[in-house]
Amino acid sequence: MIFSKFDDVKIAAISASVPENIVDIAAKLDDPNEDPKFIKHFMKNTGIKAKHKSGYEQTAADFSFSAAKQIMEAGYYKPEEIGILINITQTPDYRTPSTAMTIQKRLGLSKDCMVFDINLGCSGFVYGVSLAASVLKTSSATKGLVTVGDTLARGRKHIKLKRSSNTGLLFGDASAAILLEKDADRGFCSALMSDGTGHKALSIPYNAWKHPEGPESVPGDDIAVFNFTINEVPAILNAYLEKTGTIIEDYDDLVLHQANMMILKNVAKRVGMPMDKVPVCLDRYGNTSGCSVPLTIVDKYGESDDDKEVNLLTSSFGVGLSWGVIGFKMNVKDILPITIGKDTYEDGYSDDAEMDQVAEE
Amino acid sequence: MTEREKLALLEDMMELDEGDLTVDKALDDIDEYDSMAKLSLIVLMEDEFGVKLTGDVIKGFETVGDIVALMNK
Repeated sequence: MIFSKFDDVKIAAISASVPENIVDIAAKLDDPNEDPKFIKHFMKNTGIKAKHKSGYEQTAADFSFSAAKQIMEAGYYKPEEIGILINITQTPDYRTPSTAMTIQKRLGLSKDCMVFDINLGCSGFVYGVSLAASVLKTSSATKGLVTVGDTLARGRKHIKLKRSSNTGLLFGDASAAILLEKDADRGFCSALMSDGTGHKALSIPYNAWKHPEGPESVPGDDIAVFNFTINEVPAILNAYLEKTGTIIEDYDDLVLHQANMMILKNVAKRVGMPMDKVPVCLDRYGNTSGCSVPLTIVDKYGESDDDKEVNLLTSSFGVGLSWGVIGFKMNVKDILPITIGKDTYEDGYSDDAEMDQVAEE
Repeated sequence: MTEREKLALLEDMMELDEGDLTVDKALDDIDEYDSMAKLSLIVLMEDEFGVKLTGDVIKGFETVGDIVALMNK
């Protein structure tokens, strides 16, 4: 376990942005093309009843930009103050450059800024925040942005995804933004772990460089992932509590990656947190990958006018395999309401660009 | 725990009626024994019997009795 203590950095604001379009999974019970027994079983076991799904005119970058812009417009930062922008996504706009570059451009951030993407999935929140905090702690940067989001529900244009299992219904589209800031009076800790021996458990191996052609998705190893989650996540949470000298009762909420209800209940039970202190948003947003922890925080507190501090214990986990924990305090007033992302970006490239054939040398 | 009590745990897990399961029933013949039921089975076996099930062990189950045989109390 890699443990980090950031004794002079705080999470200053959190926001989230979702597509306008809502997929009502419960309504599929009346769809003659669906198996009502499967739909009922899916909803009962996963807890997912609806989710937001992007249209093809928007990508994860648009929702990440919207969420980051919301924090800026609320007055938490000026573009020139941001010294690092990390964008975490599995659904980037381009193979290169990092999608973060267009987010930097759209936000009007200065050149005095480190900007890059990280290819991580459901563990993205804890990794992104830890890395941004590390940079703030050791560099001249004073404020940093983390954007984390995926559009796994939307899929890719022209490619119809087969729904061979629960997976097609599971994912919802959304992004979140997290502003970090140097603050001598505040701090937080993180614990991170990875296990590359599990890289095949959740994988999209085709259509990149090693296997340039192939199906859009391959079945995951549900049982291996489930076993990993209900064993490793409670273990790292308990190790974090021990390392920080805290107990689970110290925290107002245990905010877990919104994988499915069965996982939430089992992890909560194994660390001794009652379910009324485990906020849930997957019923309305589905599994939103890396942004599910900040989305859950925003879902619970974003509409509140309270001026009070909450102590949050969070854990993200998933593809990699990759997992981690962050515990932090923040004021509820700095948790902004969920917004519907309407932004789009015209980059000048055409979807109908001619395919250039490059002769082999 | 009697065999019937063990069967009742599995019936409850798969939301079946009492008496639906027998030890010689093939798992392939049970519609409710799907991917989600297998995840529920992992939790049931670990919480109730301290048995950790791997994917390979689960793949090896053919009948209800194969599961009951691992319910060791």
